[in-house]
Amino acid sequence: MPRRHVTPAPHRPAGRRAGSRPLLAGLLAAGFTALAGAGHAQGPLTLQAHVILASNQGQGVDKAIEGIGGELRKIFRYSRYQLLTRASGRAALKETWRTPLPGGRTLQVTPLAVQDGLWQVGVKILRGSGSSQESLLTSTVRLQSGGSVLLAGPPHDQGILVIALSAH
Amino acid sequence: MVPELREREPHVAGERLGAFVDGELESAEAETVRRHLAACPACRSDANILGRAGALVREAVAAEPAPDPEVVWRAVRERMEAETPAGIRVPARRRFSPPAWLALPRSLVWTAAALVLIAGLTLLQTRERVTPSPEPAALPPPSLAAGPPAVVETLEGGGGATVMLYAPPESPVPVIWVFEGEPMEMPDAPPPRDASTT
Repeated sequence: MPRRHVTPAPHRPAGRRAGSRPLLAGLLAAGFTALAGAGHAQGPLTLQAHVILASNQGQGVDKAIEGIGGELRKIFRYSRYQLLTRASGRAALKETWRTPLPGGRTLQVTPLAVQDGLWQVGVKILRGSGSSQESLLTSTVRLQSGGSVLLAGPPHDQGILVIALSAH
Repeated sequence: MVPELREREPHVAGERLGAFVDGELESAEAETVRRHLAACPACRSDANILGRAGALVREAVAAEPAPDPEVVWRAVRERMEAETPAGIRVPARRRFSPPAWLALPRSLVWTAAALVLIAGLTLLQTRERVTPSPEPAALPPPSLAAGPPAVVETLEGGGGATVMLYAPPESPVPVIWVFEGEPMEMPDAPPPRDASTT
């Protein structure tokens, strides 16, 4: 049987291997960090906005919002509460949820942080669009699941808009 | 052996003679061959040769079981190792050896793998962020009397609007008033408590 001649692989310089290790370790650490971040990502926040027209044009509370009619009357003391729209959506951290409001306005909600079920959200009411868009309200609110905040005042159709913004 | 028998076709054909020796011929034909052998020393000699060869084959098959391929391969390896110069190891299995232009440093391969992993995870997270969430099912109006309290941390007006925070008594829900342009009158509204303006 013929003998096989095998050329041994040349040794790599020790410095070259040692130099690549920190880079490799850093990249792997970044990968595992990203993996851990993906695994523990907070679920999105469910947001809902009831856009209500409060006015003195008539009497009563719409059936869809009669559960909060008594509280609305206590707070605002208008005679008529009419549900104009109801919008809902989900927004993860740093993600913005937008919904149009009457009068060319826009409600914009951005979850900024969350800790132990307490969400910090940025709330904006914008008017106009494009380069002429301006911010009427910029606020930061802390909300728990089931918590709400009322945004009231923008005039509309001989009354004012009352926006019941809730988080779940 | 068989060619020699074939040359003697006039006697008994080789295959036929082999079948006779193995006892595979019909009785009438076997009797014919037996009579021919009694009279023909050449064919009788061939029959004897065939019979002895068959016996030897049967004995060999019975005495030695089929060789185990593993045993055979081990023996071959031992033989190769014995004949290989000292210091050079014969690999247990033939490994894939890429061409020289593909032989990248191992650290580069691992780095590339780590980059692909990070890029994939980043893409996954980005996709989660940009994927529009479906609209959830309609929820009932929020409870303004018994819900968990909300806290307004910062408040700022703009675009000619004035903002004000109002905390209704006995309600966990704060009210943020937005007055666009001239502050408007709130009909029969209670005076704001804990209010702040910007």
